[in-house]
Amino acid sequence: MQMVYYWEHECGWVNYLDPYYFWNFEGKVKCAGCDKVARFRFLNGMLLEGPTEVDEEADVLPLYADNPDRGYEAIKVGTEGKTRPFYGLMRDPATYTGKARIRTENFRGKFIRATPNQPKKAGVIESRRFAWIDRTKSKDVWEKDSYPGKPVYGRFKVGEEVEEEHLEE
Amino acid sequence: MSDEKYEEKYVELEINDVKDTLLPRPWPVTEPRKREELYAPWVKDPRDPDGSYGEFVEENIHYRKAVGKPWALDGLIVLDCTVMGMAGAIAASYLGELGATVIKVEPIEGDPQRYWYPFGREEYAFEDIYTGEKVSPTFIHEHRNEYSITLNLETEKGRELFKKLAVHADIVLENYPPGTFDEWGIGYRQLSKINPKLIYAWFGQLGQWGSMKDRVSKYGQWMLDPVGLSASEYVHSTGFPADLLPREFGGNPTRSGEWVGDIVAGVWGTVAILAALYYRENVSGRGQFIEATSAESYMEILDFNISWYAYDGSIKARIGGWDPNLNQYAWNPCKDGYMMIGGQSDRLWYRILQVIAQEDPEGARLIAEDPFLKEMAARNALEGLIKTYTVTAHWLVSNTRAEAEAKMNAREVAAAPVLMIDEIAEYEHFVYRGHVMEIMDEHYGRVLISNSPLAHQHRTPARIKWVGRPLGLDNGEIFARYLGVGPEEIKKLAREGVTTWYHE
Amino acid sequence: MEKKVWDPNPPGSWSFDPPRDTDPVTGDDLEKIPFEEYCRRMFDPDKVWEKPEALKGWRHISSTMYILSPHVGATLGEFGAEVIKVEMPKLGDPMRHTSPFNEAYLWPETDHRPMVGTGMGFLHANDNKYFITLDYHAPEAKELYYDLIRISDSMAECYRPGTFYRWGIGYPQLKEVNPRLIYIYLGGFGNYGPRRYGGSYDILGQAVGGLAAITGWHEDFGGHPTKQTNWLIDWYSGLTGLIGVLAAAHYRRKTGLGTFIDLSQISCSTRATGYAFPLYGRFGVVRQRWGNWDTLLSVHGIIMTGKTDEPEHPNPQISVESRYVMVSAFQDEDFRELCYVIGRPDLWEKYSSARERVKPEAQIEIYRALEEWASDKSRSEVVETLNNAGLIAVPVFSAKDVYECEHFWERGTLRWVDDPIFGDVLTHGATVKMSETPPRVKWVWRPIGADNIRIYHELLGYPLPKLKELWEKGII
Repeated sequence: MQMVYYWEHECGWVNYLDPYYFWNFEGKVKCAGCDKVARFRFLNGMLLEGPTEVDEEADVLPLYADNPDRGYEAIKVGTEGKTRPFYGLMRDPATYTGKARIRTENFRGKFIRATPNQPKKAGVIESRRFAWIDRTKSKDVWEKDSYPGKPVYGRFKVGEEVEEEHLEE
Repeated sequence: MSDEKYEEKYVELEINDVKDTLLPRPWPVTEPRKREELYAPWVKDPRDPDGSYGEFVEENIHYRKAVGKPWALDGLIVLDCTVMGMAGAIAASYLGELGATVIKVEPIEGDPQRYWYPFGREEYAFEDIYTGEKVSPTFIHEHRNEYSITLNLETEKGRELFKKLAVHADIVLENYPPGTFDEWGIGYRQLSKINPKLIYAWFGQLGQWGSMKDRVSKYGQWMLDPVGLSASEYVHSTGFPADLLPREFGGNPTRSGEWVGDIVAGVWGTVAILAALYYRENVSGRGQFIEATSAESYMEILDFNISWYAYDGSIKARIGGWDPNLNQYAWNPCKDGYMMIGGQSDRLWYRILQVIAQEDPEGARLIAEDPFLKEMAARNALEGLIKTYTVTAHWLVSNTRAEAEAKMNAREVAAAPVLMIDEIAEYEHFVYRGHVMEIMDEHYGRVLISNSPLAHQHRTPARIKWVGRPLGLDNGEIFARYLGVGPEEIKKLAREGVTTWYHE
Repeated sequence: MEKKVWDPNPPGSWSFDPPRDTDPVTGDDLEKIPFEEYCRRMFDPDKVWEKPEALKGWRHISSTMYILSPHVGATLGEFGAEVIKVEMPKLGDPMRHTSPFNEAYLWPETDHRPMVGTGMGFLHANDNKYFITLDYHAPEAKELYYDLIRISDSMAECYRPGTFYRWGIGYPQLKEVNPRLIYIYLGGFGNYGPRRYGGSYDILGQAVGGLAAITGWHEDFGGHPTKQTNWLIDWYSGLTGLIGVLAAAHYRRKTGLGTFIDLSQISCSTRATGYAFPLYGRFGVVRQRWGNWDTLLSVHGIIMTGKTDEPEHPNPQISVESRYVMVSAFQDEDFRELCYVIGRPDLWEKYSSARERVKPEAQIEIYRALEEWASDKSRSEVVETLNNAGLIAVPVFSAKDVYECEHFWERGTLRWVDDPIFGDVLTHGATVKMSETPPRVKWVWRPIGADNIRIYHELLGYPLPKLKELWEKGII
């Protein structure tokens, strides 16, 4: 029996039909890539019917789709008319990025070190203990080629100056 | 009844009616392999090349070697006055399993837990073989190694006797509504005067003090679990989101199947009690007042939730059988149930992929090629979870739990099926280790019970001696030992409604 | 000048005083004040830092990863022990890469990869610890480790069974080095048994241990087994292990001997299944999932209301989800009152016996009636109506509600930790209340190897050139 949870449409886009929602499902799904609609019938994970293309309105959109032929270009969750939004998010869905949130202030406006180490001139972290981290491991220092901690073939070069400073602290 | 008879009945058993389920049955149906087989020379493992570690553990740590070893908390006396809630029961049973003398002080009609049958079905009661007294499986399971005495603390006489008992006690546990014991003159304020060494722990849902403290209803009903779970955002963030499972099918905030808020409060309370004991024994010589609530205890272990809110106002959302922090780390439906697969680091994550690729190369390709999924942390994004789990579930559809488990374990991926209760009771490893074990109780016969997790120790393992006891069974023993009150006196007190007399 | 007299019981010494009768500051008679006021003073969160620590002087080595085994050390640390966490040089604990939806990180993770942050997943299982690095594979590591163990009370590890033994630092070897050592192994399947080499995670414990089997909606209602939102079986099993450690310390006072504890987190999950095993063993009945209702009591469950409290809020967790209420009215009078409040006295007549209303059919009918009644009300309306009727109803709190709940702030449950490195972090705090030796959070965590100098040099006394040599070899 044929089973389709990632529905690879002939247009080249792959629609991901998330298993819990579609485990027992009967209805029409729209391909996020080419807007064609197909009917599916799943029972306990088995595809009993479909995908049969129909010329009707879709019941539901997939959550996510991507295209392997275009270097995995993706249609993310909640793209208007393409994928359905995911309301089970922890914040306003518009601000969800899936990337690290860089911030120096927490919810009540106080300093928090939730940002990569800044140079001293940025003036955000200097006053704290372990200030040597800011002085020696900040973004500018790290980006220099001579930075001693950079891995070389899985091992670590050791630079004298920085090492001594480490020991002083 | 001999074993052969069990066998016969088991084979003949055909369930047409609830009554048919009331017959005892054999356990385990399949015996686990023997030690000799597991450690036989031909299964020698590079992880234990000369077998000496396995030998050491089997000889010293195995729970069957526990008999006769000393008890860690030998000599401590615990008065467990908790009723209804599970927290005190957990604390008391952990202390009891480690060797303390735990005396459960019950009202004369007994702890209501005794009569809480699953779905109200009295058929599921365990009967005392001497008196026929019925008790619920919950009580049997949660009150191990506890003596049972009855004492009506609402009477002056009962409280007087309780005070006399408390003089001997090291630890008192209670969970009455805030201030009840204090009003009765047996709270920490009063007891610490007569016994400064006393460690007194109160268990509850929200607290004895504060603007939202525990309260009782107009008719005197207590707050019980999951009140604490609801107030600690546990319920809010457990369950399936409506995006993955529509609300009418259960895509709602979900409570735990068991009263885990109370269980965690009980464990936290026990930790605090033992820390206080350490301080008392080594430093101060004095006890202290401890308060453990379900809401706060649970909040303490709710990962980073409140810190994340304070970070940028994010609220952890429900994500069902998945985990928003790790990929892969979830259970998904499979051919005959649900299969849990976990492997976050690149090493394990790609091993999972290799297994999937054997049968579903197309799906594996979609994952392996995608640049977005290459980095470990980036995979935790929602899109990463949806894509990975969809492909994994697609593979699982054609695999049973056993097949998937075998294939994953062959590559040392941590994978395991979601097991039902009967499957757990029969799972070879758990039977071998006695996670689930049968004990022969004097009053209730053979009882299948989950063993203490602390049963596997070199010197002071925890052990279950007996399960929850008939009401007031130990009145005679305890009253004589600590209060100088003999049977005649107890019978007199029983007539006054202060205690009861257990008779066969 | 007033002559100073030596006071054997100076005010504020919490340990040796006899039980107090008067408040040292206000002079109130503690016997007379209301009980709630008494508790407030005994557990006053502002006094935490004036009180001693229960486990002062205890040293614990935490050779751990993830949540389960680090939580033992973190909790010991909250009670005042000196906890030393040993991580692999440069790699650290994998939990540092764990963050919800890849979003929340604190910098830095380590001093040599400054552009990488530590994920929030690392939080709270590692507070109050000192962080050192050691590569156990190196031949020099064994002696270093022995030196640490020699001066320690307890140690926790989580590697697969026998790994430490192969490295020469297993229990059989360490008990020769330090017979007082309490050695706790925490893992999934334990040290012996057919599947002893199986890896494990929290979710595995939930799945095979039994919690998954009883949590969530039954498939007959269209539901699936639900994971407990947090890593419950890691956190709670860690605490269970700690019970074993502290109990063993009690035994050690008498004999001077430590122990080895083999803790399986799956076993902890199995322990938390209530009546499931006695019921199965005697009657062959397999306990199932029962959603938001209760199998022992009714009414005692969570219902959905029709409207949410703040429909305009931008966060869907508030605008959509703040609509659930926990209702508890299982005693006869309470249930009767509830039926009258929702205008269904017929339910009370039908199910006036407590046993009858726990039956599945009854529960389905009762909860449906409750949700129907609540379908045109918001969460706060439902809670208010029921509370005004003298019944117990609690809103299902989100993090926002918890954050805004006065109760948890006045009790010190939530606490802003002014972390020396990471800034202003809110933690759940060490929330069990103790009148004399309350636990406390000092810092949330530190970068990998941040305390190498403090521990190897200042505590063990290794000279700095030696450490530099080890560092160059990649051993620390």
